Amino acid sequence: MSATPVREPRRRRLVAKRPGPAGVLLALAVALLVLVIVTLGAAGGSDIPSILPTLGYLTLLFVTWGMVAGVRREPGSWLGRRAVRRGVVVAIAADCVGVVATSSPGAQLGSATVLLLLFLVLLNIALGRATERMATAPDGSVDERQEALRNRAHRLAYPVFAVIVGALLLADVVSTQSRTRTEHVLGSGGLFIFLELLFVLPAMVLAVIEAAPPPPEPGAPARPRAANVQARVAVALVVMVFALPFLASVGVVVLPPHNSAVLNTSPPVPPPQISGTPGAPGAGDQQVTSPPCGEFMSTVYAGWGVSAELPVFAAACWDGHRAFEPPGSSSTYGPACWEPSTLVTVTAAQCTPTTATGIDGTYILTWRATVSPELLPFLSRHVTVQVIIDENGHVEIHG
Amino acid sequence: MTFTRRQVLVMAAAAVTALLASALPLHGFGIVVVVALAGLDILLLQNTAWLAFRHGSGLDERQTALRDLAYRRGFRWIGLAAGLLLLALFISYVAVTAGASGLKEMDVDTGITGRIVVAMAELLIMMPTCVIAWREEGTPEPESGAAGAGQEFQRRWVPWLVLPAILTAWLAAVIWLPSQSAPRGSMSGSGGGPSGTTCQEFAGGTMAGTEFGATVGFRADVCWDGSVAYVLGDPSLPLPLRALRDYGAPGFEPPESWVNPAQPLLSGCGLDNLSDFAAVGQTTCTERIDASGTMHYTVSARVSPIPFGIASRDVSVALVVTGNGKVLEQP
Repeated sequence: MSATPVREPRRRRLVAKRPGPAGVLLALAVALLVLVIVTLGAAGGSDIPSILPTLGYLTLLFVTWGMVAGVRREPGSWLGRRAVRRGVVVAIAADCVGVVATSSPGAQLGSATVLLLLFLVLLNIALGRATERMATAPDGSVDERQEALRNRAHRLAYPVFAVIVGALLLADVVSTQSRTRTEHVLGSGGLFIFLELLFVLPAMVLAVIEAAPPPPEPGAPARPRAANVQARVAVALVVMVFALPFLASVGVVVLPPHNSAVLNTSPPVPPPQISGTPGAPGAGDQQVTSPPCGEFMSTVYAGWGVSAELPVFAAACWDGHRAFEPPGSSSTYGPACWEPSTLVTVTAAQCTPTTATGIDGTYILTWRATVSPELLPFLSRHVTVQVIIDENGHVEIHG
Repeated sequence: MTFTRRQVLVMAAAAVTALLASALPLHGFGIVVVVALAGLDILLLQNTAWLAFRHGSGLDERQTALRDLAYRRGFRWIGLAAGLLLLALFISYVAVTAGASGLKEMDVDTGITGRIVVAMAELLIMMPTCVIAWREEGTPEPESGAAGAGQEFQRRWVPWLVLPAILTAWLAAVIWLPSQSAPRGSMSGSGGGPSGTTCQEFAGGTMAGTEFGATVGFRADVCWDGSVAYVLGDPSLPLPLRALRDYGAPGFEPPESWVNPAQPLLSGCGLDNLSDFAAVGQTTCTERIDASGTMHYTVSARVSPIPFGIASRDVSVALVVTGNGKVLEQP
């Protein structure tokens, strides 16, 4: 009886660590951000406050993508830990549920859904790193153990996929209501989730069933310090990417409203100079001059980054004793409604301001609304914005 | 190039699945196709010794590896196969509708049709088995001889009981399941009618036997002028006299054939029926306008799962619109 030769399993060859594309991506992202700021600043810069958070967040996403993609899974690295792998799988599952839950009917995706889809891309990259993309690797690049493992993962994932799709098909048959709901799900974010399951579910199962990596051997060389640092930075960035929208959502409720600079689009014309010769005809007559008036515009923001905007417009005249609505301008104030921006819903918005005159002669215009962050729908806030114009034409905006 | 018996079975199952997923009309015989597909599936399962559905305890290493590999390949093939089925649907739809330029797609939303549901279920259930059957090496031979005659008979013939079970379930669904309403599908514009008249296209239907029966649908361009509502575009439904006057000028009342020509894109009787799994016959469209000017539009038809009207049921769908355009009833 001859001993069967033991075939040495093929291992994926780990190439020497070299500077990955993360640094290049980081540099590009920073350059892009600087370019945008400089460009907008040169163009007047009026839009910087509202657009900067979005650009900054996209840049952060970009950088995080590059950092996560640049992290290698090596023995002892954080991505190789079983708990991390399973955490990524749970996060993907939660994200998928979130995408379906936040999808609105029709092809238009809501801002929350888009954000969750961006998260999903990040998580998929992390999952690919954590599993060394074993589920989709070419046949020649995996050893026998990995081949068996990924085949088993597919066998376990298959019934899960079939049950989910089968449940959708069943829901389409059972009743009119369930059919409507199914079409709603499939017609919006559900399609993305179907593709996610089709292409990523086996990798998710693989991440769950793969055994914990063995502890590094006592004599094994330590991981390069740079790799450790990059991995930790990647973790921090991922946490930040997830946390920032929620923090900014809290800001909608907590932060005081702020406004852009007040523009007077119709500056008051100085009163005409009275000139003439004493004794001349008309001299000494009472000169009737119209009081100075102005039209003021600004934008009020509730929140920062995740915010609602109110473009306010106020027209007033003043005579040194009081400010008042310009004569004959009862319809001056067209509706200026609150505009929900990313991840905010506005309910009970008052589009046309109420006007009042204070006892000190100030002219006060008031808008009200209730804003609520989409990511934290159980939070809401009543916002009252007042534009106060005093008897000398000075304007203050109070939130 | 020669094919093994198993590969021929795989190709036959693929062809039948493509037929189901296509837009080719089935004229109420969809259940025959489904039963044929189920028969092919049973043959495939028997020819692969049910390997895809067997637990690991009864398999040797080679069979376990083959089974798991089949699931991996099958998972990859599902996406491609679904794409190919969509392509088949598109090509067949173009082919079927090429000579029917006067018609448009169904306005009634019946969801994912029953034939697509079956095709998708076929992909999900049978894909690993098809992968196993396609591979020549390592595929287990059908089990025979090892067991006793009784067990052999049971193994060979009991699976075929699935076919009468499918037929019974389908027949019961078409005959006894409550009808489901099918709302309007695609939105389209409305038009027609003289000044002072508003027109709107309505569509809807009633499904008997859910997706595996038939749908009696309607499309109707309904106009109203504040006093009377009526269907425009279907000459079989005459316009009310007071509405006909809206189309004329002082001293001139045009003939109805001028103002109410057939417009199958907007209104049609029986154009939106769906009869993949059961025949739809005796479709009648009636319009009744009561004294208050409210229009009662009803489409009735007989749904027959079996030829010669056996086990048929009458299905109707109604649309009620008042003279000022208020919809009182619709699917």
